Amino acid sequence: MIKHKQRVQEVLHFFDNKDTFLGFRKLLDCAMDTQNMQIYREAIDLTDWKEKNPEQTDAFIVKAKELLQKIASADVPENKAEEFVLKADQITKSYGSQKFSLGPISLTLTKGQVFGLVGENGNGKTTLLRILAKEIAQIQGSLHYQFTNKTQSDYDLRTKLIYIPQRTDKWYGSLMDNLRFVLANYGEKPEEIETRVLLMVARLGLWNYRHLKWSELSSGYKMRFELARTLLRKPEILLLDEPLANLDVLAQQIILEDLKAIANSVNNPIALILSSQQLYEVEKISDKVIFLKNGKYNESTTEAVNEEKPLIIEMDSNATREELLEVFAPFALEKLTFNGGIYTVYFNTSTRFSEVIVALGSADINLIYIRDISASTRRFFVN
Amino acid sequence: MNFINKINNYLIQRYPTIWNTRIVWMLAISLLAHILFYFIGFVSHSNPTSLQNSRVIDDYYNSGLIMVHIIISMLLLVGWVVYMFKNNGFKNFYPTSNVKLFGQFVCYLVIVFASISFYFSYMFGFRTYVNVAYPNNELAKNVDIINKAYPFLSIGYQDYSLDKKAYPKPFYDLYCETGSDLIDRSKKYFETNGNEYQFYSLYKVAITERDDSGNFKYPAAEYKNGTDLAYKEVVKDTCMYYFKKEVVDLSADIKTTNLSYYNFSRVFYKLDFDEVDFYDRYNYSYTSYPEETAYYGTNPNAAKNYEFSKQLSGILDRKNPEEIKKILNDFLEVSKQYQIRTNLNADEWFKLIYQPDNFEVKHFILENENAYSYPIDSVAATIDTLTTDVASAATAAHEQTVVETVEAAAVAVAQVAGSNDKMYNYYQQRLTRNYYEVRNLSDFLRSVELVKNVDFVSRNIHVYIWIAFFLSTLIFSFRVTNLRSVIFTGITTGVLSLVIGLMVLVYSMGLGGSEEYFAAYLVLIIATIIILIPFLFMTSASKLFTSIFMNITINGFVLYVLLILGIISMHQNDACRAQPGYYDSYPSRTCTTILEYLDMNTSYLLLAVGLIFMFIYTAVIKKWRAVPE
Repeated sequence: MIKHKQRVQEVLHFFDNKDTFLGFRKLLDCAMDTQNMQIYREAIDLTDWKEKNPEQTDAFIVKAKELLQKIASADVPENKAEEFVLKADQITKSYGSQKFSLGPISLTLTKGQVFGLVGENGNGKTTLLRILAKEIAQIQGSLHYQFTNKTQSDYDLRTKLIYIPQRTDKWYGSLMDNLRFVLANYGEKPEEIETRVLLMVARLGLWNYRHLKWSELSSGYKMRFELARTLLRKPEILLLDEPLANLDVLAQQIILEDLKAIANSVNNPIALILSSQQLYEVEKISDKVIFLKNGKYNESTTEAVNEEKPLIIEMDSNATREELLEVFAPFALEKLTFNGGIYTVYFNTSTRFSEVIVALGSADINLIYIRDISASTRRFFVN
Repeated sequence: MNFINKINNYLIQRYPTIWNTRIVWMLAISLLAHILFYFIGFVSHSNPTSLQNSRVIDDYYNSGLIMVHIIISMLLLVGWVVYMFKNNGFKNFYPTSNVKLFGQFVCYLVIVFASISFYFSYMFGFRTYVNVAYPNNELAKNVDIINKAYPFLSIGYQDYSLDKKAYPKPFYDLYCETGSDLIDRSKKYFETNGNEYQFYSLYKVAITERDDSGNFKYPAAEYKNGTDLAYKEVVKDTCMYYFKKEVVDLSADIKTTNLSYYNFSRVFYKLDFDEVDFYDRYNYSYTSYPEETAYYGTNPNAAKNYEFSKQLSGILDRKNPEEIKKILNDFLEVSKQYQIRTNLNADEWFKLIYQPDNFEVKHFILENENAYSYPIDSVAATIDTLTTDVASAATAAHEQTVVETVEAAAVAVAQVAGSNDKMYNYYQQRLTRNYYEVRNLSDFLRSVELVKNVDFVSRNIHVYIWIAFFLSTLIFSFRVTNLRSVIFTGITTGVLSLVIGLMVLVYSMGLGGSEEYFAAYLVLIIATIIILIPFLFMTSASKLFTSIFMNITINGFVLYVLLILGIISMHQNDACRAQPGYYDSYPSRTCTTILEYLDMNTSYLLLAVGLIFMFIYTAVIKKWRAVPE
């Protein structure tokens, strides 16, 4: 209840700052949490109005705030998910004559958590996701799932393990029918189906695309529709393989934020694992990043940041290697590598990032890009 | 459009399976097609001449209509499949129950059946037309008119000879001997144009024992005494031998020994709605051959109709030209309505037949327009004409037979023609150029009666049920597995059949013996293994592998049950034959195998088994779907 109120307050704050784009999406998140069809319908009407009157920002903000008041007064029970929803124990998998082997991997996931799965191509990201989704069988190890409602059969379990492959299947027929079909199959109340579908469409920014054909959609919107279909299934676990592929930078950011927000829903949190090549973006929203290399994994958790770590910097510059070595001379430089485009500089634990930047600035080095990757899985890539 | 969307929306929200299978729309479209076929059936035979052939009941399959049917069915089914395949909840792991999955299959079955069963609508339309155009009471009235006038049609001469006389009573009860070498010339007999007739009283001997070859034994006493056999009749397990007792002199009742209308005693056409399935009569020659009667002939008097003969004699006795003319007129009127080709008119016809002294037959009428053009003296033509004559006479005589084999007819012709050329010449000389296509008339009446009464539904439904069933299982297996799996299922089935075929071939060439049993049991064993594979290797083998055998099971389980029934029947049959004295006592009719016992119900039984199996098997399908690769 409190969490919901807090979220609504946040949204109000966005609207106060006229940050309507983000605010509206958050508003819809809150609306969705209420599970109240009246609020759903009002949110849908608001979306429709907004799309028809894109210029009238002020009027929109007023309307949005009115709706927020109603949303705030709704009773949203918090889903306290402390127990794991997915637990993998020492999973291994190998293909062919031991050419590739994955694992052993153990992980535990609770609702509301977001795991990022990173690693170079061919290192087993998809394999791991498919094992977790029970699409393929592991050779050793065990998987445990724990859902709100106990699963009755293997098939029942599979209906709850929702996995979106990188290349999703084509949708046939009307997009809206496909979405309605999902809810009908999940036994949603007939009179609520249309409303729920429309709100989901609105939430994922598909309002103006809902009458198009699949073939008329860009790959980004295809992914969004796929996500809409998936979220309508009220998943407790969501396994996404490369959801960011084919998306432009802005779209990547938005969809990640959306995923994070949806995963953190007050009354319907989702355990989310997504694989990606976009390290920084994924790291930003993930509670935990799993880095796979040759089927083995390294865990990088945000909690580990506090530990003493050597400083690793990644940078791009026109300066020569010699010039850089000169600048870094006062610091305890351990290693400087150049991969043809980017330098990676390793210092010992006593060096601070700000000091390095100051030094680079004083030396008037032309910096194109610089980043502290000490805590990022990026360091595994460049190593 | 809006209306369609509304209904679609309603269905998708409440009954996703029904929406997905498009059953509502498919049934609606099929209904339109059924109405179309009903209409086609209704108008298809509006021309009476189209009913004047003997296989009207199969017109649907013999005309281009079946092609139209196939094309419409294919379009419907392909269109349906394209639309239905757009969504597949099962493949997407949407929640589903066994009942829902089974419900999907039932929907397929209903849709496919509705899309391929136009034949029935056509036939209902056809029947409705026939009932409207030829109502029963009117038909009965017309048949009466036809039967009344038919004796005067003077087609052929056999019907008018003395041995056909049925009135007064003695002629109906006594046996008339016509074989010239069987006539006892020391007693009273009659003769005309080389034909001889002698009337006998008879006595009968009932025999139930059979000899080694399964034939009924001949009565010993009569054999010893050399008593002449008139004829014999087999009724169930008893053979009745009718022996000649003594000659009876009927001179007092015989006005003329020549061909006469007085002698006519056969009813041309008998309507019997609601009686035995007409179709059986129709296919009499190969469906239900009454045992032995066909080989030994029946009571020659059986074809006589005493009442009819009495009535006819009454008409002739009155010698009333007006009455007879009315009969002929009515007949021609009906013929016109039924569009039977003839060049007769009432006055001319009346002149041909009106011989008030003894009503002897002085002129004959051709049974079709071209009959006269045959060279008169040619033996071939003789036989030809007589063949048809005798055939039609015999046909009508036995009431229920329609088609006699050509050989049988030829033998009969040879007998008639061989025994008496004189009579035949008499007939030839008195043939007029008048014709009446009487065969068309009988075909017409038979067609009308058949269409009214035949149970075309239960006779044809099985074909459609099973086409629908197997198409549905195929579509269903594609829906629950995938294209690759279905294709491999086809390949596997082909390879397995080939292997089984080769094994049976090798067995029969190398080892001999009963390859029927070998083949049946080989298939049974392999099929059992196939059915067990998905259960045994569900989790251990690859998903494609188990899906192939799952698909074979889905599509072939009913055949598997049929095979089991077949094997049981084979054993029953053999056990029956192995009984001591099987060939002596002719007990084969008491040995009913399970398939014979079930008869057409096998089809319904298998359908029920198939449905129950599909329902149970949905659990396996779901389990298979959930297995990780």
